Amino acid sequence: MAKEILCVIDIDENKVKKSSLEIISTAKKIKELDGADKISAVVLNETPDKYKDELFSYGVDTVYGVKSPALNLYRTVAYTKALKALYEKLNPAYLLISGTGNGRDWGPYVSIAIDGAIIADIIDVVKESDEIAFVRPIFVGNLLSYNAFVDPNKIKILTVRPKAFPLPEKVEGKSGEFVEIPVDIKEDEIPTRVLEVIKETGKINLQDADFIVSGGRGMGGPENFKMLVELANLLNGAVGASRAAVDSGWVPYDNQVGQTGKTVKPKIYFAFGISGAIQHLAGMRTSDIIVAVNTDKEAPIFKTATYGIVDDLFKVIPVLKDEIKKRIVR
Amino acid sequence: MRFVGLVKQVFDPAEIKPQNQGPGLNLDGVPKILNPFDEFVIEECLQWKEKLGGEVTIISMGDESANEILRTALAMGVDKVNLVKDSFGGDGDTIERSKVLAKAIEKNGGADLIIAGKLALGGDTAHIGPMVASQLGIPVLTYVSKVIELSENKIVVERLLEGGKEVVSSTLPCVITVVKDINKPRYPSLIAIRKASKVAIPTITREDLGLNPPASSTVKLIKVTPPPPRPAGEILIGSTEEVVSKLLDKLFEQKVF
Repeated sequence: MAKEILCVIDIDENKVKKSSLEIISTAKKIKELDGADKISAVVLNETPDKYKDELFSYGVDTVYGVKSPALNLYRTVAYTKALKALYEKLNPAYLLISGTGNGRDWGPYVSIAIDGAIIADIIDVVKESDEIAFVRPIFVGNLLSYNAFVDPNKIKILTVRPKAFPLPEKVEGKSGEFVEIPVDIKEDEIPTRVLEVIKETGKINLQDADFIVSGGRGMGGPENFKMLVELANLLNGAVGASRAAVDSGWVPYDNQVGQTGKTVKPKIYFAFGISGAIQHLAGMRTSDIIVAVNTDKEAPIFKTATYGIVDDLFKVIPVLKDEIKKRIVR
Repeated sequence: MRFVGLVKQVFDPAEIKPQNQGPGLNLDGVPKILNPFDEFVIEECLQWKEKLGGEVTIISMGDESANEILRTALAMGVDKVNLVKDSFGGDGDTIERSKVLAKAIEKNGGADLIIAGKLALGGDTAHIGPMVASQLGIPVLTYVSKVIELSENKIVVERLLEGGKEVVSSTLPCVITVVKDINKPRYPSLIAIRKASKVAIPTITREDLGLNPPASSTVKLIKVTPPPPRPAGEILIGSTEEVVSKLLDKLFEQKVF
């Protein structure tokens, strides 16, 4: 049987999600190190054929369209039933799932359902002696752990951290094989219903944002976060917060970055009035560039920052806003 | 209604020191804390029991260090606690752990609602909630920020996802995993704490549950390393106008905008 790496593709608002394209890069790296006959993708959706050409252009050999209206919105049990039907036909060597909230919900659930083995939240694939090792952050990024699968006969399931792998190279006009697999999923066999989807319209979410403007205890109060919102809007970015600011009730938990909040990886992370406790660093230390503004020159955030400014944030932010407006014409 | 909460003592990630950075996973000297999501697990079980009646059992898998959190749970007012000991370490094999936990829940008489934290710090897999559900063949709802409705055979929750929220209903029994701030955990009274400190914690083992250790783990650990260091940074010096200007020069040089 052909050795196949199967990537699960998420569709959001009629578009292939960026994190799903990234796992094609993960698949290519596994193919290079562990060998494989083909890289395939599965779209679980009412109109899976709409996405095939884009997936071919990124280097996918075969696209399986598992077609059912019951799959338009992610539901753990519906996805598991659909995948089981496909899995029994293909018996792939690897199953790659992007590690979004729903991906991290489904990976472990499906691993039990199909008797596979799973490694969560990987950020790299490397060769260690003769073994293929999957690298994942543990202890909220304070350590990296290198893991390998033990049983060659079990399907290897991976959830892949978003933004850890680059987008794959795109070659327009590439073609491939499309296989439609209709599945009959009866609503009354699915125990859950999505009653409402509340999208934060017009707001960039923290995990997708290229620019994050975060505030901590130094912001002094909830009213001052307005300045951060304005700066974030200028940059088309998102507002984050330290645990201190969230626990003080200044900003909702949704915005919390760190050990008990979100893990983010923007191009630039601005930290205003954040001292840089290790629990906060855990959530943002892999940002490309970190800019820290704090009046306390001893603040630990300056040890992690790419650029540090020891100054009053209330003086810095207005000047920064004016200067950005001058330089960026949008 | 039968509620089961899954909680865990974890090694404090903030206390990882250079001597703990590999090549093996050596956690000597790292203190343990209650997984920060788990006090919300206990409180959520208690609040719904107070509304609907029933029984709350808190289960923890681990060594004797977990007795501390189980005693806290008793002091907060739960009905039963159980320490589950697994002789099979297996590099923290989450599949095996979920199998043992699912069996322990069954042995306790099953559950209508099982509540776990969003993830346990340390392993950071977020596997146990969904895996226990899958082992029991019941649905799971993860990242729950609010339980909107709960009755004999139905639950409605709000899930906190990357780009917003989702309201989902499920039949029971069901597993939910909760995020921070879903409720305000109560403080146990001193009298309750003192009383709980004298309770012998019931313990069950893998063998009591009739499960043999597997021949091998599904996943193995090769090594651990410290994360790659960040490149050295620089402090920008000058007046506010000067430092902002310097900063933007540097950011534009790197073409980040």
